[in-house]
Amino acid sequence: MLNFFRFLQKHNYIFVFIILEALALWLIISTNDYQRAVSGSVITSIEGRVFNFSSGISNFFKLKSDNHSLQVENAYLRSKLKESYRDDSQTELPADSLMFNDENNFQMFTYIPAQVINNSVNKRNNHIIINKGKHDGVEINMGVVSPTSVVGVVTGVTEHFATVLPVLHSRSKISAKLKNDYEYGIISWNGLDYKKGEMTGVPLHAKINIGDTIVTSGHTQRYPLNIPIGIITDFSHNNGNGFYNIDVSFIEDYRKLNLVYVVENFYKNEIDSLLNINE
Amino acid sequence: MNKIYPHIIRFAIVVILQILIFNNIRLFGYYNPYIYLIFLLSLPVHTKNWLLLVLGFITGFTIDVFSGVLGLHAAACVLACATRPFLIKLFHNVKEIKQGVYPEISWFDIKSFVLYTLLFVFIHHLALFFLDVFTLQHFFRTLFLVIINTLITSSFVMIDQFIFHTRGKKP
Repeated sequence: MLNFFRFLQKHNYIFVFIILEALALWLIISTNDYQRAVSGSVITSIEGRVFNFSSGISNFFKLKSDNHSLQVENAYLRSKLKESYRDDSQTELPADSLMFNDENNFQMFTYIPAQVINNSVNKRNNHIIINKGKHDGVEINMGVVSPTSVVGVVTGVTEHFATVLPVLHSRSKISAKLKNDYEYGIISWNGLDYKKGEMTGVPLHAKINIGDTIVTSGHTQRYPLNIPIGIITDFSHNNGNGFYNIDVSFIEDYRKLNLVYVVENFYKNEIDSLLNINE
Repeated sequence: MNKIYPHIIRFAIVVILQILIFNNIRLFGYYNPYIYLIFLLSLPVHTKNWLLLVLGFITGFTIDVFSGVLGLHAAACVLACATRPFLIKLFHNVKEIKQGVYPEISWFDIKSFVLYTLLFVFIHHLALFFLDVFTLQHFFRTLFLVIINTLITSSFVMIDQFIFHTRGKKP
């Protein structure tokens, strides 16, 4: 026993090691799920300021490619403006809102432009921070889309910044469907390659082909219908549960994500209250 | 601690570089050089063991705050710092240690320094990547990532050594 105490006295740093290592592991486990949301708005807003500064510099070098993608998107949006339609007898729209055309020309979604100021693709659970917050109308559970594809869901909001749980996260589940068919499924990510995802829940009687496009289903009210997510690269049905296992290659290169749009749904509360009545 | 300010400045430079530049490099899509290890690698040889651990924790935690999972880098750094005294003993004759020497190329020979760096970085990365994945499911894939990333980080440490720590010494 005496020897044991002498040993501890001589090697007191073992205590320090155990305490610090335990503290670090506790931090990992207790904050692993919603790291950003749990570690709180304080860290997010400090971080936001720092990354805002650093991305200001890197933005300068991305100007050319950003301009290109903006141009492409603008072209698409202009084609949706009321001037581009034969029938312009519809009611007057606010000049500053982008418009979503459904059959009745009722506007359902608006978009809050935002910029990614911190992003990663190389972890199992990645997180994105964008530079718009409560002040700009961003709320928890809103969807986030990029010019070409889907990005994720807002999970935390501070006054001027928000954290996004992206497609590249173990908890990300996006309701999707085949573009040419009405078969629905779930897109998730297995953590290996930021270019590839998985789709499950498509029944075996669906007709699918390699090269088919996967789009959003519009079921969750977070994303508009028919936003492309990925392209089928491979599929199999050998696990005997009646569903396909589909490999999907994402359309968006999440490594280069910069400009995104937060989707605001005007009818979300109304639809949610309907769902609540049914329960 | 006679000269503490150079270390604080060194810490600040390394951490700022890591957060603002090296966390965004993502070589080939996956690999990030963790150059902040330079700070821990080059603390004086006679640094007390407990102080080494505390500094490791502080450094790791600072990086954590800016890169996602709290405690991830802290755990890896504390583990690596705990092995540092043994690594130094492994590659250098302990009896010769004087006050105020630094573990750099001129104190080790080059071969020992490379091995010391590689092992230290490897232990750190092993803990870092496996704690990040938090499963042994894709064991060999993670191990491969660890090894490639170790080589990349170590080469940055070497570049730092050759640029900043060989002044006034004949090669």
